[in-house]
Amino acid sequence: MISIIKSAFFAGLKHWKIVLLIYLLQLLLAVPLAMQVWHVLEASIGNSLEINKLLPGYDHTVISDFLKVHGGSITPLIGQLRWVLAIWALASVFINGGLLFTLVRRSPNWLSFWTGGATYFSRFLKIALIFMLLLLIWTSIVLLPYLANLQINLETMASEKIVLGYFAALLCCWFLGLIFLNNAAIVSKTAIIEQGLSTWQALKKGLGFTLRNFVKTTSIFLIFSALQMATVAAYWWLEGRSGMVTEGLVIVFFLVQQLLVLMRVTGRVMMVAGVSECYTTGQTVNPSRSAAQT
Amino acid sequence: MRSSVFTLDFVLFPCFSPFFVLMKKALILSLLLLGFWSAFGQCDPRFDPPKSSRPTSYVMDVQYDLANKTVKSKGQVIFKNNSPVPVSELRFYMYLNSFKNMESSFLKGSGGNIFDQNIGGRGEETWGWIKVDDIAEQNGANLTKSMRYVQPDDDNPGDQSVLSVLLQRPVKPGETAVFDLKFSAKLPKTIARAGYSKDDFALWVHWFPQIGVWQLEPNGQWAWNCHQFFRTTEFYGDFGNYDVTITAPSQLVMGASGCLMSEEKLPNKLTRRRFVVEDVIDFAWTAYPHYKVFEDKWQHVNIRLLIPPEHDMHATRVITAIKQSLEYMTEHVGPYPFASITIADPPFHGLRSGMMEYPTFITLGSFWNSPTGIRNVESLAVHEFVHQYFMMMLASNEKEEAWLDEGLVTYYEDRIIDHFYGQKTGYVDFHGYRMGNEELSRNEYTGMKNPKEDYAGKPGWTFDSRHKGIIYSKTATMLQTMQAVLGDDAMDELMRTYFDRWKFKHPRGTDFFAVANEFAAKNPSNAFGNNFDWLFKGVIQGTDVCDYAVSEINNLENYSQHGLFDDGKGGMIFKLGDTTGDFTASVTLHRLGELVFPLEVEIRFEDGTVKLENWDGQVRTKIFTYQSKSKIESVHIDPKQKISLDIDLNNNSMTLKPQATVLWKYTLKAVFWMQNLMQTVSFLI
Repeated sequence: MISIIKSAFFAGLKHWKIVLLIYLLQLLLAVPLAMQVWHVLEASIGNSLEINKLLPGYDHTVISDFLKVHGGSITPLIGQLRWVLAIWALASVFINGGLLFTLVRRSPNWLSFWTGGATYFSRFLKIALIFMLLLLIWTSIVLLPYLANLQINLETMASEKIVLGYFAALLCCWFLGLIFLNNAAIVSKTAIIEQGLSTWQALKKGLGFTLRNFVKTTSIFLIFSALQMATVAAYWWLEGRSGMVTEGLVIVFFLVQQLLVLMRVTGRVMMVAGVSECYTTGQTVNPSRSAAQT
Repeated sequence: MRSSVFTLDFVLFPCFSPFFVLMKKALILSLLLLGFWSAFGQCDPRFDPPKSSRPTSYVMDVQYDLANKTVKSKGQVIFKNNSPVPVSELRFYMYLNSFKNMESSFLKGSGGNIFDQNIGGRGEETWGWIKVDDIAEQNGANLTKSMRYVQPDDDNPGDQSVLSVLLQRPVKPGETAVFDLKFSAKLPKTIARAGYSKDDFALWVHWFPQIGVWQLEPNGQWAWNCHQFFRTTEFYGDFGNYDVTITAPSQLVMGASGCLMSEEKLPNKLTRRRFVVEDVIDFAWTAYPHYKVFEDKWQHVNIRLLIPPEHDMHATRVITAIKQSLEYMTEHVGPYPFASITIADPPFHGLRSGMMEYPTFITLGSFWNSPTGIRNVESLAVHEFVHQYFMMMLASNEKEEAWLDEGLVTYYEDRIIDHFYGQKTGYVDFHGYRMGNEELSRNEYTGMKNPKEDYAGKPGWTFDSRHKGIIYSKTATMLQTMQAVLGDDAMDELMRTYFDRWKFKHPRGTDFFAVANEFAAKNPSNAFGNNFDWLFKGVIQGTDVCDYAVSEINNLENYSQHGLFDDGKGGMIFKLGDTTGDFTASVTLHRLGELVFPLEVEIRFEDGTVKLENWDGQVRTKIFTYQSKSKIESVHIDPKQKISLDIDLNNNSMTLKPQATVLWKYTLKAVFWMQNLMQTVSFLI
């Protein structure tokens, strides 16, 4: 386990070019939309003295008056954001193909990345859609009955504490399922690359392996997610201490934000590397299974 | 007739002649008396002399059947005719009948779904009702047969929320009549306010046949003001005394209006509790076996909080908020004369019964572990407490003029919360998200989809439930504006005058207007002029809004003589001029709304000069022009933001250059959050 974590950590660092590519792609997609945010703000309240009240932090009156009068200008941006996310999702399918290919083949170079991305794009897209469907089913099973009966529960339970307790337990359960599906998706994709399995075979393998190694794969996920969460917490702490309250601090905090994004991307690459590594080493260290597979 | 049971008869009469026997008895009784006061928190509900004219009073002996959630009561209702005309009919509110079936005016048209509850499928045991079993003039005729339900507001024959009883002998002016009254009532499973829920929780409000208000109507006629019960209306009752004895299972923890005068254990695990309260307009009570009780005292006021165990982390918050309200209202409006205030926080399954005001008894609606930075617990406690002033002591008609209590209460709720918890942090101060109560109220009004949709000064039953912002918040925002323009002391004086003049009476909106206008006439130098009629007409009785805006800053460079000029000899001469370094600088302001306010306008120049202009706010477009060495940098209408009624404060100011730092801040934040969103989307892909 420790060796997998170590290996995943270094794999993340070794794949810095891919990390940088992911980061730049995200930035390129985000900036045009953000510039529209600039223009909407400038055209609406950019010349109002009231906007200065937003420099030290949140001001309910300024925000409410802005949303009431100019909220309509924000709606098209939300529409655009949906498209940006859709484009990013497709790009992610390609990026994950390239990333897993370089990880499995242990060749962190551009050629492997592009080859992997292009070769497995359509199959990984299929895998992604299947796992999203599975997530929908999982959510329906775990959360929908609760939410559908929320009002009855609130009226019949002795206290809202119990209702909230159930909800928290269900949320944990749902989240574990989410982690399971995420890891199973990575394993399925690794199996496709490593063993050349069909989509359905890989799916079966991914779900089976992740279920058998639930604690291990979940731990890998949680360790690298904890890293990501720690960076978010650190940012919140920093912003809480000071925040973007002067011109200089706006620049400083933007740099901190971007560093944080870079670290989150690195953390995700490490997590993918860890789960994938868990599968590949699991395959080789288990002689009986290896024999069966050959 | 005033019954002797309304006073605490603890006067000692000598029974035996020997002096020492008398002394001994007196001593024993004094000790018993001391013990009694101590046990019940020295709660003395008596007012001598009376605070009100006490037209309607009740003595009720109530048996509570916990299993069936029913009560049976026998007692007297006392009606004193304070009018100059005889009264030949009594009218009673029978509001529990609104939950008897779906034909009631309260439930009709709800489509089986009311306040997000499906009541269409409710079983027999969940409906509520109230009926008078017997009513008779004391030592006189039985009136039971003369009873009939009436529908003065909507002629809905299926509604039984108002009962008329014809008297055989009219009550003459100045006469007091006593009626023996027996009635039964059953609580519904809570739909709104009155009701029961799980684990024997019950809130008994509008639970007895309550006499309406016999009053002089604006048309000059004396009549019963006793409206039917509708979804958008509350209550209106007359002043009197209540002596209510409730026999109920001992395991119930009970709270009620007024003071607990005695508690007596009976056989069969029953307890008889007697509550007394004087000069109030209603009586309410609650019972729940799981209530935890917290008691405290502020000056003469016994504070009693009944709270479910899972909410007990809020006990200190609630009691502190009540003490703060007592302190603030006493200082700024007038004293709270009652000996008690009972606060009941319903368990979550009974939440729909909460968040209401009754005389010396209020209900909350808190949630387990609500963060302390979100002061919904405090603001609700303050709001409902302030109703003890506006609705209770100043018993305005909540049905016909809901704004007069809800608006004034919201205004004081805002003042109290922001005073004790911070102007911009009063309501929320939670992880960087901040909001004052006053801001919240203003935004509830200005944030309405259409603030001109309706007006506050109309009967509650004609309102759409979406118009809460008009009744509560537009009124509160108007009062905030008045306070900011008049000043805190002047506003306090105005409100104190209104309170002193109308306490323990039934003021109407016009009475409030009259006090305000009287104040304006006495202080003609105030910015509003000699009266407030224009303001009340526009804000309370009309749909006017206020919106001032800056549209332009213009800085034109002045030129020295440039062009062709007459040379004085019949010819022309060309002069080549140049910029003088001076500017013709102007700002263009607009009045976009109908309301007109006198305003200050602050104009700042690049060289640091500041000009403060007074604008009467009348014309639709106003231009201020200056010859200046420097450009105008910014302009701000109403820079101190006194006019909170202005529906868009962002357009009240303008700067020559955009505020780039803030724009960058939010643009870069947008980049950051979009990147994070993308990272999250990558999850399963």
